[in-house]
Amino acid sequence: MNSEDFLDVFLREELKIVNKHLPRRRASICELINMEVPYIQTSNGSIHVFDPRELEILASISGRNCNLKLPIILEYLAEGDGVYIIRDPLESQVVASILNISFSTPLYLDRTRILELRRILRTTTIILLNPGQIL
Amino acid sequence: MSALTRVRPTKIELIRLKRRLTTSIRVRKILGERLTILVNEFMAALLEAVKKRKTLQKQLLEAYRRAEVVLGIYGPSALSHLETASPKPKIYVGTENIMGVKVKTIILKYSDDVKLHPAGLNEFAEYSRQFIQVLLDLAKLENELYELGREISSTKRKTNALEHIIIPRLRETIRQLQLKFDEREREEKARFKRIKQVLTRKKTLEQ
Repeated sequence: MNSEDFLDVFLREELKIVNKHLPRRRASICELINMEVPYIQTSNGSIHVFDPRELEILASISGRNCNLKLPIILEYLAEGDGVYIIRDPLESQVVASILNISFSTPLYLDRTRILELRRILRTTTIILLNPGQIL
Repeated sequence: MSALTRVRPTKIELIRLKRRLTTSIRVRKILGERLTILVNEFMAALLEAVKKRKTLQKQLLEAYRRAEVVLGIYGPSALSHLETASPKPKIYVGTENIMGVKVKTIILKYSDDVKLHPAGLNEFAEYSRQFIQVLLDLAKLENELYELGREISSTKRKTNALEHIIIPRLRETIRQLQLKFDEREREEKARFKRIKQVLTRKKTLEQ
């Protein structure tokens, strides 16, 4: 393998590694609350355990709406100015009420909001780094 | 900045290099954002850990004070009575995944059946539970700080390599190839002009 091939492999692998923490399958809040230890499996096979206290916060805000899937995915778009977006309406509503901001679908958030949100929901939110279209 | 070695001066190679440069810039941006998030997570965990440690120290002093009161009323057997009579919690050890960084976590589950202790002991048992929860939170945060620190340094190395070595080298290689192609084009133009001149001269001589 020459240095150029190595570089291509490195770039490709890096893009995979940054998103290795994404869940293989998201679970509903009802499912998670009923579990002894609320957890999901990530795409690289490891286990991600949710903080039960965060689940209680979300359950109280959403009114135990079983359509709420966790973890909430905050998608970072590398193209353009680099904003975060929440596509699901229910998730947007929950996040908007936590951050005390006006609700819209999709919900666009800047980095400061994300940091604020991550301080409250550390285990129940996850950041997806979307590199956009790679040539 | 030196250019990449062993690059064939062809148009295909130029296109490939341009694509690689675009990908590198995107990856750098993504890694930069990841680094910012990781640093912020680190700072948040650090502040939280300091806060928890202060709380823990306060709670520890309070726990000693309460233990003294309990010992004063019920004697030394009170604590061993609490230990044997209280329901044992279930302990679950797992991992939290924060931006791809695995952090150990512990969940304590206490059973719902309430054991009645003599007056004062129930409060002491409840306080001890809270104290253990704070202790576990602090342990988790300190482990998180270690793991995040390690990931930050490795991400920083990658970002720096992309920013200061790979991207400038790719840019330099593309520039050199472009210069080579421009030079080739100029040569070609000069050659065509020369041929044209020769041909016109031949034509005029023939006439």
